[in-house]
Amino acid sequence: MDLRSRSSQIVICGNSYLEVENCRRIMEYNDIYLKVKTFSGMVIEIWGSGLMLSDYNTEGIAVRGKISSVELHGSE
Amino acid sequence: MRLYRLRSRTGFLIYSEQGRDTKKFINALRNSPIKFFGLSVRNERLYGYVGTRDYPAVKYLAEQHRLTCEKIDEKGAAKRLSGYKRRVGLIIGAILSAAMVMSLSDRVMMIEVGGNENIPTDRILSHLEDAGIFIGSRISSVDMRLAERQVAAMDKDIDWVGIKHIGSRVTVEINEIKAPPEMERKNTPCNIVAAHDAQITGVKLYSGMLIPMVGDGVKKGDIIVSGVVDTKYGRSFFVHSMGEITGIYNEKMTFSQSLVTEEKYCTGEESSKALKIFGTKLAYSPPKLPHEDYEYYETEERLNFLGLPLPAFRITGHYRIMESRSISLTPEEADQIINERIEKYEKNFLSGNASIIDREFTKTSDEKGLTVTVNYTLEGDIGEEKAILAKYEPPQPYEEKEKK
Repeated sequence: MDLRSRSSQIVICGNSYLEVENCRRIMEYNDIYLKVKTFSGMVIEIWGSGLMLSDYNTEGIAVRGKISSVELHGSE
Repeated sequence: MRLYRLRSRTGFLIYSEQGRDTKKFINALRNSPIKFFGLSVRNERLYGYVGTRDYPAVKYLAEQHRLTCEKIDEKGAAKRLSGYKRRVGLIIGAILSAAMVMSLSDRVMMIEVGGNENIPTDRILSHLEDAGIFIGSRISSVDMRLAERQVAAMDKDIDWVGIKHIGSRVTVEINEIKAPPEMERKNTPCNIVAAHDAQITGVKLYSGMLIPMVGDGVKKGDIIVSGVVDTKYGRSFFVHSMGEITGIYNEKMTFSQSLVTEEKYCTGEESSKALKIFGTKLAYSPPKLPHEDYEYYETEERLNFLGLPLPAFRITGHYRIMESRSISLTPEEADQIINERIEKYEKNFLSGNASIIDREFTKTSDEKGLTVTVNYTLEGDIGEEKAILAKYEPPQPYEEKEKK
């Protein structure tokens, strides 16, 4: 976790695992779509199927499932 | 195997009967210290897992958001093991197995002895047992360095001992003492004296001065070959006398046999059985012994389990019950026994050293027994070396001085 700037770090392992740090709020969530907002104001949209959410710490989320696309909107 | 699968976790289902959105609940769950995983949405319903201890907190959080929370599943090692909690036999078996493994891992299961050529392995095993190392003894209670010194001190033929253990196997390395070869002292001045009263029949002289001649008689202890040699110039010097002196001499032996003898014979055999575990002997079948004498010996058999040797032995004690009886011999039978003994004596004691020229038998008998006296006339080696106790002086070149 980057406490200094609170900028988001996104880790993608293949198309089955994704980690987002410094995640502020979950805006939309269902089994094919996940939309989260980070502390810096950036919006991350994740598309896929069978998406499952876990929190590995209180400031981040981990997404498992078949991820088809990741879109970043807004700026840091 | 992933470790999180062992963790106790409870599956939950969150839904709203009024069609409320679950996003606020997810964000609240994220911001709470509750850790969740496997969260998924299917048909507007939220499924996920939390730690079993956190489930009441999740339910409380759902109620705060006016959502319905249900427990749908429970997983983890604790849940799985709870299914076996009433199977007392399994639990006792597992505890006993663990205790047995822990106990046997500290016990000597096998002893290997190496490096011994002349000392029998059984003797070394006996020394090890005295030092506290035997099949079934506790490894942690034995001081290996002390045992090495004890075993080396117990046997004069052992030079040093190395004892080490790998797991439950004890390896003993023996180094035997090798005696130096016996030195033949051919320079020691000595005489050859007569070992018997005899008449000299032959002489082969290699060194020394012959005193009596062939055909002369000598008494026991008389010098036959002297180690003090005189020169023609009147000087004397010591030599190591060497020669083969043969002579004819007499030897008398008496053999006797009682006409009434006692003989022990076996009337039956009894056995006892015992179990030796960890060095402790547990008798489970004691013998029914009469009051007569008996001979006792033991046989030991190691127990196996599916081919694996165990630190347990089955010991069988064999009792041979002996009874005494008197046997009366006729003079002819006694004479036959004595003849056999004479034959053995001549074969064992006379055949190598001397040849028998003549023998005379004198038989005397009374009510107690028969006595035979044999007078042997033998021809053989009659000389024996006897050292001359003289102060040693280094040899001097006196011959050359005399010539000058």
